[in-house]
Amino acid sequence: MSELLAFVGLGFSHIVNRDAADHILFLMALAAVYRLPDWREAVWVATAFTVGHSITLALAVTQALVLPTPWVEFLIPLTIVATGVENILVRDRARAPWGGRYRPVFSGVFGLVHGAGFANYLRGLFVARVAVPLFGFNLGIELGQVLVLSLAALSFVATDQWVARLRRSERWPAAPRLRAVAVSASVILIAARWALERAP
Amino acid sequence: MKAVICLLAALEGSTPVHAHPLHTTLTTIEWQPDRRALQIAVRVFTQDLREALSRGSAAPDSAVCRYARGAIVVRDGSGRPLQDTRCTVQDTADVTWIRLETPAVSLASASVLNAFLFESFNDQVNVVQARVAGGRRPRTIVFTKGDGPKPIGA
Repeated sequence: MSELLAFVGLGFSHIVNRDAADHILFLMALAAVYRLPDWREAVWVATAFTVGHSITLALAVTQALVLPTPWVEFLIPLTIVATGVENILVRDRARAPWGGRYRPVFSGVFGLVHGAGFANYLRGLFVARVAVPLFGFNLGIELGQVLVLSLAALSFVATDQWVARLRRSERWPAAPRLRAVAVSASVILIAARWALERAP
Repeated sequence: MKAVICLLAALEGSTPVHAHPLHTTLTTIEWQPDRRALQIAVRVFTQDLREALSRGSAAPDSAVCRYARGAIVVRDGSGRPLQDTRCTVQDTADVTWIRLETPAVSLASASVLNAFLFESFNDQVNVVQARVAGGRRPRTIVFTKGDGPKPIGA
């Protein structure tokens, strides 16, 4: 097996893993407000998150940036809570400030925090020949994220169809909105508990 | 909706203490033909090693070396395990370095098994980078739980 492929596998299994709950929850929170026709916006937000965590991962692994682990671990669930709260508060994205275009910026900033979380574990391992392991690990993370987001999109579509069948009145919010609120509320509850447990 | 609820319940149940545990070790194996010696350097997360050896507290170097000798086994072409003659342990902030050295005349047809921490973590992945033929790029070998010995050479 090539070195690159080995680290791609390591990054992929790091995301597609039950222990990656905080990362998966954040991705679900990011994706919760989108419907299939909104896929371009979702790609922008996911790309911004990728850019953010790639930056801090590279900076921290190369020792250019050293962040205190307890604070990083505390901030990660707070990014999930913040994303979930934004999902619930903004009912109409077309009328949101700046037309909702702030979301990729937030996603990128939150990505910086999540990247620092990865890096705190990797910094001690990659002491020499950083480039290939770092690139491979990051690529594996991206592939894992694509899989998680694809599964989330499929489950959201199925959920919307199920909720639409249960919808008794036109006065009820549309199925995607109900789904976004339900997923966001659940995510907020879980991440808030983690934040309390990890408070420095 | 059931799928989403089940996923959220599973994620909630995992309640990671740390942000994102990564159960892995990185090992380099280098053969020094002039000294006829094989040098093995294992980088392992100190917290993982402590959990495996002494339930969270620091383990003495002798216990770490004993564990490493059992977890990493290099066999020569005839299947005979190579016995290390030196073992040193160095703790840094997050990572423990374990260095083993063993005499080796040749590594033709040699094999390695790295079973570090498999008994502790089901998702443990051990990456071994072996440079035995003087090549510029090391050969990368990956071990997951249940794997047997793998050839060091190409």
